[in-house]
Amino acid sequence: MKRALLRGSAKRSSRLLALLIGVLALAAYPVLSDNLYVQNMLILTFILAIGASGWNIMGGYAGYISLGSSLFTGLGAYTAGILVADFGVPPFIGCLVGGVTAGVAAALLSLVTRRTRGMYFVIVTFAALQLFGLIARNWKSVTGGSSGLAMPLPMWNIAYQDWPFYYSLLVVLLAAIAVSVLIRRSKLGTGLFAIKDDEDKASGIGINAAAYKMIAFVLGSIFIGVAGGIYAYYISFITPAGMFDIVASVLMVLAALLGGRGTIWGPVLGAFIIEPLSELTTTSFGGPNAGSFRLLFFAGILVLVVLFLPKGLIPSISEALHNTARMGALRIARGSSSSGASARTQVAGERGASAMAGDALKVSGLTKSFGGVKAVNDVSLRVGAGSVTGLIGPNGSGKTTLFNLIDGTVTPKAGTVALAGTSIERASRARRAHAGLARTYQLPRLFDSLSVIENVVAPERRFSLTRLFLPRMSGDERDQALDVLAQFGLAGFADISPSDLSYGQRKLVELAQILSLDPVLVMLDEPAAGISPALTERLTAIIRNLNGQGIAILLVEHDLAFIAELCDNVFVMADGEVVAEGTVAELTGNAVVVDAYLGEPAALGIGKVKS
Amino acid sequence: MNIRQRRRLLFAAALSSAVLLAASACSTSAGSASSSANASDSLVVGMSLPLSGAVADVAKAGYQGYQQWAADVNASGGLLGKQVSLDVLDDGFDENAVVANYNKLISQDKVPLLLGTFSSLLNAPASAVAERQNMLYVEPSGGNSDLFTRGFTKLFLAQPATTDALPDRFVQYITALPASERPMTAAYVTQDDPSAAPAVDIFRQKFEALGIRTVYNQTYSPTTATFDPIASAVAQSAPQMIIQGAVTDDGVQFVRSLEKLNYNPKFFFQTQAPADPAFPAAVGGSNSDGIFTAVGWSPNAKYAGNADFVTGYTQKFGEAPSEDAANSYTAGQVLEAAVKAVGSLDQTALANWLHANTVQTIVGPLKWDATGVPDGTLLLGQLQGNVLQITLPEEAATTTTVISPKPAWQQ
Repeated sequence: MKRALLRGSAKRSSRLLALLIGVLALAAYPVLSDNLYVQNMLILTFILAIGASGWNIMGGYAGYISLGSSLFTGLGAYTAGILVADFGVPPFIGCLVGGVTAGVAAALLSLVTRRTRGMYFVIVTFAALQLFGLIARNWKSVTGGSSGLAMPLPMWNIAYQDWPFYYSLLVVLLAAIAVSVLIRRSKLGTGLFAIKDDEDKASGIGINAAAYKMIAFVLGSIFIGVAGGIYAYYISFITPAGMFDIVASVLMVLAALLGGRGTIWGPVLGAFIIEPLSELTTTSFGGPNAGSFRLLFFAGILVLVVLFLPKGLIPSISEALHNTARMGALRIARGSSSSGASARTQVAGERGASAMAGDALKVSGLTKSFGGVKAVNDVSLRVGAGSVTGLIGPNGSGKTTLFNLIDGTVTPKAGTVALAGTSIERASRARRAHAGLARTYQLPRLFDSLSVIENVVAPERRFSLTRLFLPRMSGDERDQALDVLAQFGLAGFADISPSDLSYGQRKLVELAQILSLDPVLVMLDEPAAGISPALTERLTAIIRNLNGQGIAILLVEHDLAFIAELCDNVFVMADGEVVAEGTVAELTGNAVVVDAYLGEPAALGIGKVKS
Repeated sequence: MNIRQRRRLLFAAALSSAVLLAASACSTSAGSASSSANASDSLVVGMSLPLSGAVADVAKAGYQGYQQWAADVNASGGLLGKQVSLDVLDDGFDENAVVANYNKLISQDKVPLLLGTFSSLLNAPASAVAERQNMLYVEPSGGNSDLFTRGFTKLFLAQPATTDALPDRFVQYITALPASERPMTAAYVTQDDPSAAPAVDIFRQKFEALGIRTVYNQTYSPTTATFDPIASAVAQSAPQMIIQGAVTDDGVQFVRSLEKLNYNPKFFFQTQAPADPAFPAAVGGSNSDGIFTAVGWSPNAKYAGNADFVTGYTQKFGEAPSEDAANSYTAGQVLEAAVKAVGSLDQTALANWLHANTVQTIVGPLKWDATGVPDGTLLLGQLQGNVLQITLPEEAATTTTVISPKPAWQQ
């Protein structure tokens, strides 16, 4: 263990050294060489790298593909251009203001796209780019329309070549990378990766997805805006076609995809490959025929990336390097996992204890139809504080829909939901999670981009801006999470991806995860389905233990022995309605229930009930 | 063969084909490098042209104009005792690439002389690179007047005038008409393009000052696909004169829409489109008769060297030169005159000489103000019998006949 840590820190310091050498080499280049052509190439590379890194925060971390990055280039450029031309502002100050404009535009665009996902987000960002291009073209009195805006020539002596452009862009690039690193290591980064993997689930564990996405979009766009302003000053002439350019947008995406989407250095590496290669084909091959060669080259790169490196260069290479190492680690983890099966989980905070009196959950008159089908019809039920309440019913009777209505995934047509006496039916999913409502899914939903322990730490008990920029996982958080995992018998798996776990283990991790919410009520959707008897036993102990700490539990399950063992009170649903309520013993004698649910009393497993 | 092996094989195949591609590209570049010889006995003139991309067809003629100029210079003994060779790069009509290319020409290829590229979009950043690095920059196009507001001292436009002067001759023609023959009303339609929209606006101001009432005024996007709605709106407003800022295909499309409506204005002026040799055939029959346009150059103009240029170019390339070809030939002539007069490659001396002298070219005598704007005017052309005739100024006119009013469309 210690040796591994040492090896890790040695690797980190050699990486830092390489970074330092790289930065120093780039900083020294213009002073050592007077080759303006290479200087120009590096300037354009920095601009592309800034664009790709900015795009990567939203596109790589949060998984929202934007084709509108040039929108921010254009806004930065026009802000700087107008300030310089009409108000005599110094150009580099204008560029900084351009970054602010881009940030504000990104915030507004996030509000507009709050509910759009996937392909729709791509389309909306593309449309926004076109829209702003049209505005720049038609708002002639301000932007100069299609005739463009001329920027003044740089006023410094030619002996200083293009240094001010070069160094300012290098600084912006380093800042963009630094922010990328900070985000990745912060809770904001965890949240963004969670959103990329499963946005609904992320909301369910209290992550305010809209706020996370807005912050990510704004942070990325500010850098693109500043770079856009500097680019305009460098190119010296601003036109709508040149600034709000879809090809430039696509190049930023291509650079990020080539290097490795979602990684820190991928977009930078991609830019340092694409821009010089483009220059090489333009100027070194073919002379007047360069255009055709360039097309062949880019088409070839795109084909190679899509076919062989769908994740991009950096992830593919590091995967190949780490594959062997990881197999070893897994073996060790498996060996130690059988120990520590005790279920003395101590996770409930002050909330679980305080909610001891009254109802943990009170649902009245909840109704939801899908088309003509009344999936949930006028359902009322109560889960007493500190109780374990069961919910049974045949498949299609509306149990999961009821869960979705309670946690806010689906909006009800009528009815109220109160959690520990507080009405929550109008609250967002994240707000409900903050109030102490937690659930698991029939098929466990975990974030595969995060490690097991990061999954456990990911839930958010309340939204606060400052919290977003805290480190991903503090030492305390890690210790606590490790403790919970150990009690679930999963300590050895803390640092691997949940995708490497068995189905049953994933169910346990999901349960450990939602406990981080300090819940008042936990809703479990078929926790025992499809898992081994040994795990079922462990699960029973865990649920008992949670209940012992004052956490109320609402349990959907088909395994009636399991229900009978745990539940004080059981509701029966059929065709979207609650048809009965009582203890398992009471219900087994209820003809309506038996008829609705199973058709014959024997199947209720009466023999086992009293065990 | 399992999947992994097959994938590896595929990868190897793709990789090796990529390497082969690169290798073949290298060998091609070696070939072209020798043709644009960088040898010490030749004088290299560098330029970047949009030879691929959106305006590739136009740029090809511009490239051939430069080649024709180099051939003519070399046939008459070269420049400063050396043969001229061209170092041509392709920028794909991309601003970044044009900046990179001129930087490469200046600081890597270290060419002693530059010539300009095409379009205001590319010339704006390219001229800034040249100006910053103290290189003379004679451009064959880029007439947007904004380019000349930045206090550059080494930028020269090798055309008789910027687009601001485009309306001059036609306004002169209308003004000279007896009041009873002048149009009373006018419609203005223009593509939103820097080479057309500002000129149409100047037209409107000048004609309004002349008392011609504006009955319609519309700017359309470069991507406009159908002109029927615009044409019928124009016809509704019943103007006696139509001015269109027509850059390319939009000129023909608009005429065809007017033909469908059978709306006949007395006067019809289009900015660039009628100068295209393909224009008369595209509008059909003799429907181009009577349409006016402004041109910077005419194959029939009697300026010294023009006839030789047209013959030589047609022989060499098997097609008649376009105005773009003539413009780059002119840019070459301007550079040539300065180098021959100064006798050195001192860029400041060359620029000073051009500011102080008049150069005889195939588009007539050119001289420039302090910002590099030429002080000439364009020629007024009119299509007559499907041939573009020059009607003004008198010294360049190829005919004394002016068709007026415009004949009705033949269906």
